[in-house]
Amino acid sequence: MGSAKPFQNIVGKEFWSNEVTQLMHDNHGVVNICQEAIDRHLTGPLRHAVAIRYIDPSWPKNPQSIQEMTYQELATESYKMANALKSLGVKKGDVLFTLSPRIPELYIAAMGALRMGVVFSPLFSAFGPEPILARMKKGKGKILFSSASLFRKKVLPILGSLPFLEHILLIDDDGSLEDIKKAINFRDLIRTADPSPILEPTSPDDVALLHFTSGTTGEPKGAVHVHQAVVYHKISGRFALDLRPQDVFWCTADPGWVTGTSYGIISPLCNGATLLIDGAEFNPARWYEILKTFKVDVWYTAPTAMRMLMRAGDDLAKSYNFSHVRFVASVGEPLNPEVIEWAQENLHLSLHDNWWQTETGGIIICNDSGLDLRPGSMGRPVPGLEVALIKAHQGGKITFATEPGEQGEIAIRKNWPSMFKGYLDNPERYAKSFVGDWYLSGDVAKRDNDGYFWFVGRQDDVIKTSGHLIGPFEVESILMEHPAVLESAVIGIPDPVAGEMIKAFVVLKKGFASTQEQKLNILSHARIHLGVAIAPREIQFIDNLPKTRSGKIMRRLLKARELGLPEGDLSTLESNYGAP
Amino acid sequence: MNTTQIKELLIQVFHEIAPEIDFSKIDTAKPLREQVEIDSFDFYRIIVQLHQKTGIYVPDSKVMEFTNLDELITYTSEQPSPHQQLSPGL
Repeated sequence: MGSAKPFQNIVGKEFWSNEVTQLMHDNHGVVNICQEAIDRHLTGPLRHAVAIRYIDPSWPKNPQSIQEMTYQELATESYKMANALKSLGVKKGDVLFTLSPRIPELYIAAMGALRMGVVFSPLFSAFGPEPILARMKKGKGKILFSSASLFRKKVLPILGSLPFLEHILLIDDDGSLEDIKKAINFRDLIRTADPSPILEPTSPDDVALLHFTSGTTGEPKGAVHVHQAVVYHKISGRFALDLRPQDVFWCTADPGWVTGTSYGIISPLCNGATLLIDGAEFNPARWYEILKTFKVDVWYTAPTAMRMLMRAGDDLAKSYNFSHVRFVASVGEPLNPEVIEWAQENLHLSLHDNWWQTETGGIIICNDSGLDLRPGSMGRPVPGLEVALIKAHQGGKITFATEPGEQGEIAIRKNWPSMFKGYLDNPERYAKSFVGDWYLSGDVAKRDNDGYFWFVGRQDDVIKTSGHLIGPFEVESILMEHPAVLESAVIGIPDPVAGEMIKAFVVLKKGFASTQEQKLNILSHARIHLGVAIAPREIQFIDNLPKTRSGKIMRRLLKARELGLPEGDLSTLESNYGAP
Repeated sequence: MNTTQIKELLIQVFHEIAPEIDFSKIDTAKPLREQVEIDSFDFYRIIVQLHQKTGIYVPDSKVMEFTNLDELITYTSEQPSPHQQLSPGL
């Protein structure tokens, strides 16, 4: 057995529900993420500790560009944000979307919204107008927090289709959007807002966060999370990331994704850490400088970033000393053993892989600091959770994988605090995510003799690119809006840096020539409408798509043929699809 | 290879990877990603394709140091061109 921490042994099945009960008891029934993240520290020694340290893109050229905010200052700013929202007539349960660069105001907006009981729904700034429209429409976003430039480029073209949107809060408002009636200068709004303490007495089950995720079919799904998730965010951060008060913590994920919210905002604040925010894009030398200059204690990053650091070379990596870094974790997709070995040798750091999803709200399986690291394994379940591998289920009867090495779908016994409480407007899809008491993750894994989990693959056709889950349907729908496209199928093909790269197979309508120019025209269309993060990087024309007799696209077959893998069971393949 | 030749190839590569971008509007002396929407993965693919077209290898550690396209173009132009070395008679 690995050297499990005592914590792992003393925690029983009731642990998580007891924690929620205790918090309710302490707070007279009120459970609010912002209260745990900020207010809790205001009467203790962390009140004047630094909560947020922001590194401007102009750093290090401009060393004066670092901004800091203590817990008390963050509290005051979030009071102002909450009071400003109130003065605008925003109510508990309304949804605030953010589409923003990583700047301190984004964190203030998030905290102020949660304080008011307003649902926080972050968007990734590399989304194009179409993914933004799909999410904001579905979430009935009432308020949008954005920058003038992102708004002009990505929201203005779809503004007419967002009837629920009432207020647009803009940072770096350059006056060019004066004619947009709903636009408000965010900085002016906050400057004149009431700084009095305010807290909406939310209950544990009030909706707090809305994160969109993708499946194989249909539009993106809005996973709903409630305020009691904060219990899980806090304690799992302590357990899985070794977070301690006044640690300098750097989560490199953008708040536009679930990691960047659960562990990029909420968990470190709850644990009294100093949150490091880098406003710039990825750059290896810059990242190393940040780790060194700001003496990062705990670093949470992703395999894609680690692979890019590897490519930047051993010499660069070896020129730094990171002995102050106490713990490093990685999430997004399985971490290759060779990356772990490289980091050990060149950075002298141990990378701890962990596994979770948008729906789980927090880390479920992890290599924690007390566990002997097994490169390639995602680790063991967080204490107090029951995680199983389900081989099959039919009519409520479940067959579990019990033997070491047996494969099964990762399932978690329901009702841990950060479990999602629904897919927005889609109760059927939500119900399908469970069998009996178990949440079905869609990820297949196996377990070794000592209880370590090893990732095997996905059960569906979603694509994991740069650690982000992309649904093929969303991409295919936009491709089909191009006048030359009859139909399309999108798959992920292995890439040494991004994990998977999005590739689209396109069938052209009659009369359209399969030229290079046509390809670039379609690619251009996809990048404009979907944004660079979701658009395919490669397009290939094909005469027809492999489909089942019932008309479903067999993306798996396209992938197998692309990669020269076994084609599997083709009994349902429609007969007119021949060899490629 | 001189800077003009390299810039021409770079325009081609850009067109293949990010065809929606009008290269003539890019100020090559300014940081690229402040002007157009290109992510790290796009940029990495641009470098790989430029390498295929010029035969000149730019190490990743070098690529990360460039703050604008002019620096990439200048650096590439200063490296010996393998095509010229391999086929001096052509």
